[in-house]
Amino acid sequence: MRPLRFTADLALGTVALVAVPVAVVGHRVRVLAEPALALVRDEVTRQLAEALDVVVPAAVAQVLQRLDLTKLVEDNVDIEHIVESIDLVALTNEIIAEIDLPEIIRQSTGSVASETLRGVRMQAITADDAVARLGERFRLRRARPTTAPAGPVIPAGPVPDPL
Amino acid sequence: MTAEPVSPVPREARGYQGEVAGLVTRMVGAGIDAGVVGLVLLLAWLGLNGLKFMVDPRGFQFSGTSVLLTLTAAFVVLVVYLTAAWATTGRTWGSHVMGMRVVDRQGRRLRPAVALLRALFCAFFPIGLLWCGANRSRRSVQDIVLRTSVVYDWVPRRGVTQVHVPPTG
Repeated sequence: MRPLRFTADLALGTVALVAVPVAVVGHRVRVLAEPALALVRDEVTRQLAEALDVVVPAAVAQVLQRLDLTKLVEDNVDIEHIVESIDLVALTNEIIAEIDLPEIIRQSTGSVASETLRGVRMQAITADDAVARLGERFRLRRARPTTAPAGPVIPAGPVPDPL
Repeated sequence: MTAEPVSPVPREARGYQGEVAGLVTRMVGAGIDAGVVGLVLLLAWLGLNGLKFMVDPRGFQFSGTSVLLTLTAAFVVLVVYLTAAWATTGRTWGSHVMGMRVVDRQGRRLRPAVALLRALFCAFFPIGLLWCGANRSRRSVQDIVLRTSVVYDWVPRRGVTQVHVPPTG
């Protein structure tokens, strides 16, 4: 048993003697080489991208020239199903509301009379609001108590400037 | 995506649709309606005289107008005009011009009986309309008694108008 154990210890010692320096050196080499490797990686990536920018469009264009896309779509895509899945009325309403089509029609076809009428109506609405505000102010004034509540006496005369 | 109907009302007026109309708009509308009644009376008088002329051209003279007869005719024309307008479209010519509509509390068109009552009330007690200027909920005496509302409604439509009533107090 003893010679066998000695052999194992010797082997482990040898491995340790070799592996530790290799690991240390390897780590050091990796640290030193990392910037250079990054530069190389970036350069390769850039050149590959440039090449793909040239090659891919040309290749796709060549492929598309040889394909009848319309026929492919007609044969393989259920267009009616797609159209049915879209709420065209809602979409149209949203577009019309967004571009304010009624306003465009009014501006392009509206007569001076209709513009005047619109102005009169809006002015009347503004006047209605003014009358309502006046009434509200009057009601608030009437709702206030006639006798002043007990509180600090404010001296008559100009208010002193606090500054 | 919700399918909201596109409103033909100008943007600045959209927020007011369904709101109870105020004193000024109502007075302008009432003035136009008074003009319509006056025009109807004038045309009736001219038509009557034209008829008299055709029957007896030689002895024709313009018929005189008595105050009592004119007032009676004006009341009759006004009541018929208002009743017919409120019971059918909810708007007289004055209301149409000013973009208003008379509706019940649910925003529906008035029933003929209610329209007739309101027309009689307006014809015999027009000063009650001025109460809408003092009332917080913008209701005239006629509106309060008959539970009706006059709302801004610029779009000619059938059916129910959404009424937004200010709080009473």
